[in-house]
Amino acid sequence: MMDTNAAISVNNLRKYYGATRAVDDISFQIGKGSIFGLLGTNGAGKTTTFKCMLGLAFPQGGEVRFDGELLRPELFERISYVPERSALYDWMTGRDHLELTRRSFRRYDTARAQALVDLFGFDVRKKVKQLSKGQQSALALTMAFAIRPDVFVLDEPSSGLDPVHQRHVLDLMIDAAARGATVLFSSHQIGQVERAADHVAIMHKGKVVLAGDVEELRAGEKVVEATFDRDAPEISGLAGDPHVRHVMRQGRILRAYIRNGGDGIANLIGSAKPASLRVLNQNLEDIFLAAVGDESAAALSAARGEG
Amino acid sequence: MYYKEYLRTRSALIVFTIVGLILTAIPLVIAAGAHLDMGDPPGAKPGAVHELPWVALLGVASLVASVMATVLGSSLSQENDGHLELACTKPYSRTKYAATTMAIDMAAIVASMLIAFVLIEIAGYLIHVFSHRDVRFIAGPDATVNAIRFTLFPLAWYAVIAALSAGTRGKAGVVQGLIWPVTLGLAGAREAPFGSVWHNIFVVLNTVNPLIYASYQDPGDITIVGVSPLHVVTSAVMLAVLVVAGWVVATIQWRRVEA
Repeated sequence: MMDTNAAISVNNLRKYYGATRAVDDISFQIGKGSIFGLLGTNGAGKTTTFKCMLGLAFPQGGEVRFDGELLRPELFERISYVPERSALYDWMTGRDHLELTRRSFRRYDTARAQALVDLFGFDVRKKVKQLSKGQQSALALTMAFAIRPDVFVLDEPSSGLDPVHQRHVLDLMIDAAARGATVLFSSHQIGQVERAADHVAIMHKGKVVLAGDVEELRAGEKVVEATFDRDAPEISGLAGDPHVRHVMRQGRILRAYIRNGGDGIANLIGSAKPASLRVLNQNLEDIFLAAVGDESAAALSAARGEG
Repeated sequence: MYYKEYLRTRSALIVFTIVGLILTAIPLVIAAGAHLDMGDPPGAKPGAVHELPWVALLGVASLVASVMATVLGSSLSQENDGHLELACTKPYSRTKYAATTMAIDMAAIVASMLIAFVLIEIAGYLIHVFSHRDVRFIAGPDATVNAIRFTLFPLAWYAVIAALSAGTRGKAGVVQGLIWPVTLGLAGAREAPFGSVWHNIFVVLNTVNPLIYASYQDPGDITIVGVSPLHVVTSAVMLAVLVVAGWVVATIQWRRVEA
């Protein structure tokens, strides 16, 4: 259902590349002044979604509205986009890019731009090819924030930045939202999303598999974690329980990601005589892993050396 | 929105001018040191003033400017190589962006032609001075139409390259590299003694070959692109058509490119 008051409204967006469904009929709405985190594994379709939203890729179906309006070039006066990979011109200096932005956007704020340059501490006299990846990200962010847009679309905005500047980016996003701007961003760093976003959508294989208010998602979601002194057994009736969203067995560990009704599930797992049993509140990472399913969760566990 | 194009074409013009000055200075230095005796043109009275048609010099400058056109012809294609996210998220349409880019490129090409024309004219004059011959610049045949034609030639050259490359990503260099041998080959094939079927095929293919319309032969001894000359007005019109068609095709192609 389309929310006409949303700052961004994505409805039934579809983008296919041959047989690959990069974006598969997704919908979400983002309220004004909200910070919306888009999470997903590599290839989940986040970047393609952003490109379709901004007319950089042409979807097979669906529509995107900004403040109720379909995208038209003039709206970019109020929209800033920072792509995942640098789109800057290697042969131009940082100052040239800022001047290009100044001449392109009426809202460009010179004092704001200088403050951002000082914040990130890069040399505007250098050509882009002489800047590090992090400095290039900082320049792109400076260009985006200097025009004081109403909508930010930021694809991995802190990519390449050191932890101090990553925190600056989060603060800039939170500050912008506090001033009424709407921020849509993607990040592989779930901690950042958890810190900044008030709403999230989790994409997997082109689909939005979970979306909602971060606090509400966390409130209802728990994980029952059991450790056995043998390989974790299959427990009859567990996977089929309506409260269970997902069950993961990794070696001796069994985790059941549940929504409401945690006590009953804990009792069911307890009947299998685990060595230890805990009911934990889920953080966003747990929710993410539960949402994207076995395949990604197993890959993450393997990378951590678990199981 | 013109700033990046301004910076890009300014750099190209600076390089073009420096190279032009060097290429002009070299023969002048040689001519100054060699005390040339160029003799009189065939059929001219001894000691007569040598008449140099400026429109022919403009034709040479036009060919030189087509080098600049070759370089600038890939501007839209270069945006496809990772810059669309920046180029196409500004508050104006892709059509306007493409039009602005091509208009500024074309202005730079005309400027490069004028720079080349001035350098060639100075060089032509000085070489005659060094060789102790009097020279007088005259307009030449069909001066106005030829001037228009020679101004349109590098623009058509640019438009053809832009049309062929605007929809590509990372392949503009192939177009730029092949455009000269292909067009020269096509022009040569048109003149070759093939059978009528092949001749007709090459005549048709050459309708989009700007080189065909740059042919120039004056009553003196100057020839530029020595293919069977078409009527100058026809050539000028065809070059104008190529400019417009190339512009439209390049815009359509570029609008369809996804980031």
